[in-house]
Amino acid sequence: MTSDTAAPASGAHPVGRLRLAVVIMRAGLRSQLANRADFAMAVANGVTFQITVLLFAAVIFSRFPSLAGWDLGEILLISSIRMLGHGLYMLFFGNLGLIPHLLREGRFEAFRTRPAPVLLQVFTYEAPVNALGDLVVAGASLGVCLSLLDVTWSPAALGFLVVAVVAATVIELGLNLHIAALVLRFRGSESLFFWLDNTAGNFGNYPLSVFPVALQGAFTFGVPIAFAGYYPAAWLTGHADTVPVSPALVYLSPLVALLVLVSGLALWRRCLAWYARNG
Amino acid sequence: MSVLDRPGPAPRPPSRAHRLVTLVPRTEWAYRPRLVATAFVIVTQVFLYVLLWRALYRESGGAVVGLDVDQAITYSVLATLMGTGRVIMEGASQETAQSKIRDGSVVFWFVRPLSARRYCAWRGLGESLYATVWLLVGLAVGVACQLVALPPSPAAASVTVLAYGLGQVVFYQIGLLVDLTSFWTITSFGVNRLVAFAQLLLSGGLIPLWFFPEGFRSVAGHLPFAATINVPVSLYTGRITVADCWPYLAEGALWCGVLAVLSRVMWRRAARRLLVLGG
Repeated sequence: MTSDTAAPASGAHPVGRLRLAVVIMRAGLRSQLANRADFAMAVANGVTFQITVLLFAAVIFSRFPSLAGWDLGEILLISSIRMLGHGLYMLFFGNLGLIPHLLREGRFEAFRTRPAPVLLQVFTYEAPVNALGDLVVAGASLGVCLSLLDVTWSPAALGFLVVAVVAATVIELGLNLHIAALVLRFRGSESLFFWLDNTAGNFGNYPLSVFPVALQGAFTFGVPIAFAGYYPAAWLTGHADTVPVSPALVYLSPLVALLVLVSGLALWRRCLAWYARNG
Repeated sequence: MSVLDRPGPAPRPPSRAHRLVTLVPRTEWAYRPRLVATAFVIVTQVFLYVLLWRALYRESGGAVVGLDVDQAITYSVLATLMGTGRVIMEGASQETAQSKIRDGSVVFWFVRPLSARRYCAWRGLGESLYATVWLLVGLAVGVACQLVALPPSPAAASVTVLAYGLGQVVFYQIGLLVDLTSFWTITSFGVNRLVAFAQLLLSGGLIPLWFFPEGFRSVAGHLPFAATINVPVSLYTGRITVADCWPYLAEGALWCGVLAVLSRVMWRRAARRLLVLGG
């Protein structure tokens, strides 16, 4: 995330990247707060998006109550982990989805001339206020889910839950980095952002065992959204022995997150270099 | 586009306005990766929904709320083809009030020998026809692969076409009304997202409206969104019989009229408060 600097070295005293990000984000937040209606609308957008996802799951569950032996609370845990990961992704890295817009308006070119990493500038381009709405709904969903679940929350289980949410965030970041890189390389392919959002939102909330083997493989080894909710939830709810392929998969979310992130960064760097030569 | 480059002799510009119909398809063609990405998104979304519905029906067996598995899959495939195609190409040409107001070029909408309202209407027609081509290709492939059942009778097919036409007008008018709010709010991004949420949920684009609770369904059924997807797809699948179709079609036509009047009023007011940033 830090080695994609395309800018020349600056003579000024270097500022820590984290500090730089905080300062820019604070300025962005203040600018968004200047228009309260826009701010409220952005928060509401986050809420409505997640409500759509939850409604889909709720309607499905009300009409098809038997989902591979998982009850409502357990299924809500899958979607809560995934949604919390999505909310955190949106909060820190969600501006990746703005890259097509930045390219179209010519703003991306400016990022490549400044003495700061391109990705850092993208992440801090504007305050991702709608992430607040995402996180509110995700938190509410987790609250409902915890009240329905009969799980003993030992420190180990709580730690596992936190790691699962962080892994879900990183997996979403890694997958979106792949898409952002493709958008740099193939202008016009931005609908893949919509595709990932839609696929993870509508198909990442169910026990993998309801899907056919091909799809189980795709969501495990291809686009690993099952590690952003299903696999860790399977361990927490005692379904580890029912997961496809191997029960060991329930522990692999952090490793998968790391692999997806490394691969996403590698592709991003490659496509950014291509863009620098041809863009 | 070309009519604007070469306006032609003064007495004849209206005769060339129809060439604006090709604006959206030609923009899509200019960015060919968009075509590949659109095909990828549509095919995978259709495939995933088919697998999900099959899995759910396999668990529950029989018909659910009167829809059997074939009807549910046909509904889902058609709704995905109608909804996803429109979402992906939304704003593809970037000829929207929102983007034009941001860069100031909206002024050209009002100085051409063709009214802004007609310009948008021709462009919208092209967008509808382009989306219809994707729908027809998807329908043909779906029927060939036996994913999509044929309509129950030729009469059902005819009223489906009629309802689809009305739905496309409603689609266009809703999008136009949202876009025109940019004249008051500079950016219509927030309103856009909220309406997209309503559209997705209330049109039956995400979940067939038949799966919702009775109260929700009866309210959603009378809103304009239902005319865009739920009514044509329900007619196609035989969930609404030809004998019962007329109230639905009349309601769709009524919404076309109401929204057209609203958009006409908005166009007049928008033109009066035209704001060109930096101009």
